[in-house]
Amino acid sequence: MNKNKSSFINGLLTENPVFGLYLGICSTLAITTSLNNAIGMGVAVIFVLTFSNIIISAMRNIIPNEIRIPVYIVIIATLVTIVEMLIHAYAPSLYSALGAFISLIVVNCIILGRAEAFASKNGILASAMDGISMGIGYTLSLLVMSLIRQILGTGILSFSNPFTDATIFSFTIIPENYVISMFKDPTGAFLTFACCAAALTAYINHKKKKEASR
Amino acid sequence: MKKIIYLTCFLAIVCAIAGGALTVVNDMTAPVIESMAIEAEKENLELIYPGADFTEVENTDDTGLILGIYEAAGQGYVYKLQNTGYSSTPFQFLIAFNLDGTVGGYQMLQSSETNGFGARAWEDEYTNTILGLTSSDAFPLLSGATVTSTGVVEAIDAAKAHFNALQGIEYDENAVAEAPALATGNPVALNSDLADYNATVTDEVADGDKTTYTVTAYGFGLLNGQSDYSENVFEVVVNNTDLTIDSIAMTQFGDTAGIGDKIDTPEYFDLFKGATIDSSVDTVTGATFTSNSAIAAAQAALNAAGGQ
Repeated sequence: MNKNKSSFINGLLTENPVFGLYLGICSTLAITTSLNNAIGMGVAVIFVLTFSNIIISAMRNIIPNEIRIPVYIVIIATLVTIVEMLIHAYAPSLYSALGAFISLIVVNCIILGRAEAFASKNGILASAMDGISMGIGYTLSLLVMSLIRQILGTGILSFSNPFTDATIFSFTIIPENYVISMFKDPTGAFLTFACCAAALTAYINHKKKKEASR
Repeated sequence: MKKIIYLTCFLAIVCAIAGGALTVVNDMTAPVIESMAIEAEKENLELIYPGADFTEVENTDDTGLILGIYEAAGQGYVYKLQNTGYSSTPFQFLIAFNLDGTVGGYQMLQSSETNGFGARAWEDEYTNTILGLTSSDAFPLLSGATVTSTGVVEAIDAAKAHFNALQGIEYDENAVAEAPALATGNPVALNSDLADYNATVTDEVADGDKTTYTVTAYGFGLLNGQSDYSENVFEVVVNNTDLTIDSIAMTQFGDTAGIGDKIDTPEYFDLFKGATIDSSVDTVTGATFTSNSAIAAAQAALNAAGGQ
């Protein structure tokens, strides 16, 4: 269990899929324009990642090695389609905001990466934990990116209920005349991503140095 | 060989299970998604059939003009239509047919058509015309908003085709509505200030009691500084004895085709007959500028004949 716990923490920080392992960057850059998108996408990925890890882990002994990748893809695509249909039915505004990126979770390399690297070699419980921690790590990265981009780009931090579209909170943080609208664009996404990834690497290097000097 | 069959079967089974799971979820979510789509549209549909129970009908249209078809239980069908008129941004509107085929409603949803021209396709005059028709009638164009109303009628024709097929109503799909009579109104006095139209007499030929003046005048295009337009040229014949207009004709047209050239009918030019400088002449609805250009030409000819 201790091993599980440390790998859980790893997924959140040092092995954070986005800023640490550079996985799943495409969707991260594209959808982190608002907090709503980030949370919606994050929850969708946590769901898909956890269940694909569980199913693949449960089937790891019966999946023939030669066709493991097609089988993984079928499982992942099925889960993604289920999530897509659910979001379409119950959170239509989120569905239109995320657009094609929901379907593109299928090719989000975090999911196939974890299936191949972890779930196919470990037990169900460990795989589920791995899925949750990697999913939360991905979601945290989305949150950090979207917080920075939404605040700098629009000056407003807001969140609304994805099922009813009712605004839950909305603060104006930067006056309208001082926003940097570039942060709503891909340019801002790349800048934000680079800064966050650099910060995480700096932290990891610092920790390594400390351990080495000990 | 055995291995390949095993692998194929394994993959097939996985796919079958995945397909089964998707079917279950789809059965669960499809009705919700459909009712959501109607919910989003309902606000508009209620404008026509308030409080009705709406269900979406399968859209078998292949013209691409029908965006959605909704049945109002026991009352009729609403068609959400889209087409492009004068503006490059398409307009959207609803037309409803009651179960007996009469038009149950006509409602604009969005339009970027020009105010006073294309936008008249959703004003009272045309709306009332449409509300008086049935699904087997040919829908008329709106004079002065030809481009927009052509788009409207084209879309309505698609809706008619669907509705009539659905209800088994036979109709002549090639019927064309008679062109509406020239709509005139808003008279302009011949002695009013039309200097903007820059009416200039370029030639005069006297023939007994009558003098024929060739007059050039600005129309809509030149008044608005558009370079690809030219002047309208009129031949105005004036009776010298009583300074009245004997006849007027347009010999050269420099305004917008399909709009300004509506005035070029004997019917309209007859209105000028016998006019003096103190008379007023109607303008053609939807071709006001070109009408004014003819009135300015008549004014210039009368003034020339009067020795001014």
